[in-house]
Amino acid sequence: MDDPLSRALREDEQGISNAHENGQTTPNVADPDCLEKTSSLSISHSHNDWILPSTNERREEVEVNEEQTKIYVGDPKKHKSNLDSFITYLVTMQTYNDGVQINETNVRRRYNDFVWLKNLLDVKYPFNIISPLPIKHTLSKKLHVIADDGEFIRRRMNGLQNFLRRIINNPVISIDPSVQLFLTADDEALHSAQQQPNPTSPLTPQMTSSTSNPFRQPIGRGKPIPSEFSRTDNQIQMLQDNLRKLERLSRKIESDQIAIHTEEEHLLSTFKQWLDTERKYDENDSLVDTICNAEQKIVDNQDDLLRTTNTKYIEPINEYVLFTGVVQDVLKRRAQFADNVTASNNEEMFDQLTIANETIKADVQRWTEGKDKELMDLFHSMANKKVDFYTQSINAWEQAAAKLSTPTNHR
Amino acid sequence: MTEEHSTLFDQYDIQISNTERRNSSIAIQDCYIVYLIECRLKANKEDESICVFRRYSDFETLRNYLVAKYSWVIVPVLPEKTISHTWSKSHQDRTSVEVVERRRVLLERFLQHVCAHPTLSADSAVQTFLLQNDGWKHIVDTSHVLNKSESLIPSFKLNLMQHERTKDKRFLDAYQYAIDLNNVLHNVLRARAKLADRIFLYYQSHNQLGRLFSEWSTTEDKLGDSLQRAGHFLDSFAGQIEEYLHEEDALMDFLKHQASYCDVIKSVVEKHEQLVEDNSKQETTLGVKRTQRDAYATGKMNFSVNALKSKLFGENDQTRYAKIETMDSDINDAVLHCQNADIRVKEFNKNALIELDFYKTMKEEQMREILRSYCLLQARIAKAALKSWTNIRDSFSSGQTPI
Repeated sequence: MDDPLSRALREDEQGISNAHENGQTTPNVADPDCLEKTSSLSISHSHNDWILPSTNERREEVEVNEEQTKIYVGDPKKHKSNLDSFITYLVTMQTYNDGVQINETNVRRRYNDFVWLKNLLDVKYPFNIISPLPIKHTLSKKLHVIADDGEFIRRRMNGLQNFLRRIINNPVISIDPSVQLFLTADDEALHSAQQQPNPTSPLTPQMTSSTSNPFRQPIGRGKPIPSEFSRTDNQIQMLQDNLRKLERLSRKIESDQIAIHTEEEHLLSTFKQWLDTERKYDENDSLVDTICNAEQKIVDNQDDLLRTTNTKYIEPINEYVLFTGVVQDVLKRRAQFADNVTASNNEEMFDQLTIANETIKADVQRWTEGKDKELMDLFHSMANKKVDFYTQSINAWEQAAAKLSTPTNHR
Repeated sequence: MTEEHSTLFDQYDIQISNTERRNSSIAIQDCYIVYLIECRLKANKEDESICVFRRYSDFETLRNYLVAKYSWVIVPVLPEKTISHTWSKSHQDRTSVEVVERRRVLLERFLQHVCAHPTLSADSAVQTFLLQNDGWKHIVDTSHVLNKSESLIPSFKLNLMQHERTKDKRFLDAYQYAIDLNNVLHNVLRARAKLADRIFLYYQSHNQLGRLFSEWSTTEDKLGDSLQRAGHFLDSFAGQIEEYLHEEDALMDFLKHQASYCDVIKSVVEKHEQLVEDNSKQETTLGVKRTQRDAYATGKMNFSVNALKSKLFGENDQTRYAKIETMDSDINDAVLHCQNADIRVKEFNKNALIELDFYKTMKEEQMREILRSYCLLQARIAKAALKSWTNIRDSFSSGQTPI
């Protein structure tokens, strides 16, 4: 959602607090499928329990869930409280049943609230792929400048929306009480939740202890990393490489475009000089006038195209590179955990490893589908912009040619 | 009889139908291009056409001759001698096929315009140039109009002496307009050439993008199909532009052509100014002579050298009368010169202004054609790009059918 905007935002470096379950309303209450799912899994949501997703079933429910819930982040508003000023965004969640909207919740959240939620989820679900947040600030911008940069705010909103969308798409995480709290609770409830102490990670120190020797061979059961995960690792790496190349190349093409734009503007100015000369000597200026107009249109269109290239295309590619990094981190965590499991020979840990493997498999599958779709959409929309641009160019030139066909009368 | 007043263009179909490469010496590099001019009688199409071979320098010589001899005429211009204002990848080699072809077109146009001009077409050198193998050079040489020193001096005179520009507004305006127009046109040409360079680089970058997509597609599952198609269309997009840029380059030839006319206008105006100056000189001389004669006749030159002379050398009345008669006839001559100069100026002005009007009409028509072609070319470039990008976009639509 692209709302017009430019507000102030100053980041607070707040600590994140834990979320506790509160009296929240589940939005999907009216959905019978969802209720069933909730009950069958006997979710207690205490931190030490793992939820075991069975893959196929979950996928259908994920799809059903997707259709049923839509999330929007928009309407940025500047807030001035006693100590600071910041921007809040309106988070709208709409639920549908067979295309009919049955519920809608609206809450206002600020960037730091998102950070709180993400950190919480990162700790709580170490083996899930959790979408990154839009960056805090770009290298080129100081904190104070962010406020007035409409484009930056727009990108941030987009990123926040993606973040929530991906969370909702994940059937396990979307029903986490903290998520529900975030999406529905009023400010008071949220703040008190944020005051709670940090959640404890489900990973015991044993599981996460990194061995000092990275080259240590796994002992004990001597299980190597399942080839499936190493294959996934490779694929993610290749994808990341390609995305990086794409980003580099896209930036180069963008600078080519900018160079063209400069020269087009220059050409336009020479046409205008020509027009002035014809007018100065009372000559017929209609011919050159036509050319000037056509060229002006081209220059304007190029301007439009250029303005959106970076934000709508290059930045998302960049964010996807970061996203692949998240997947790699999860895989690394798993590998480390697997090492520790084989080292410790602990039966319970082995079970948890199996659960973790399954979670990751499902998430990677989901992530890959999401990636396919999102990249397709991205490329599609970029190409579409070019299609529009060239269509407009054709119109401008053909109009000009038509005007130049009919002999004009002298003034 | 209309036959007498018809131009060569009326009588003949004139074409430069072919070109050939010739060697001026055994060395391979010393080659030059000749152009085959064919003239066929319009009245009798079955007749064999008259063919002559001419090279670029021949055209140049002919044109210089015409410019010198018919100084009030706006003589059509030749294609440029050295290639200018091109994008960096365009054809630079003077003897390459494309460059020769572009020249051929403009040389043909030159001939046709010359032959359509009543005055120029009637010139015997022109007729011999087209219709006979030899003889035209001889006519040019013996006409003595191509006197190098003479052609240098007028402009030398004009620049150094900083004489007054003509007071005739029509010529003055034409001069200024020619200067300004030449400037702006060259600016346009320069800007276009730079733009063409940038556009070429931009399209080339898409080659790399196409390759990236193709390579990437091998490691992707669902996305791979789309990436591969897109890569293929990106390659074809990248390859489109070269042909169009060459075409644009050729089109710019015609704009350069128009800019060349500005120089011609300037020299016509300068010739006019020269004649005006001549005229006023003659009148001044006449005035001086008259004053001298009158002064001498009335013997009012007591303190002059002449008075001294006559006193010293003992002039008598007879010699005095003889002298006055000489002076009178001198004055009559001067009056004649004046009248001639006056007539020359008037004739020149009249004809030159006719030429200027005609040129303006022709220029507008040609400009219209050039600009229109430019617009259509840009539209075609955009259309080709549109096709490619539509295909690229559709590669990423869900549910497309395999190629």
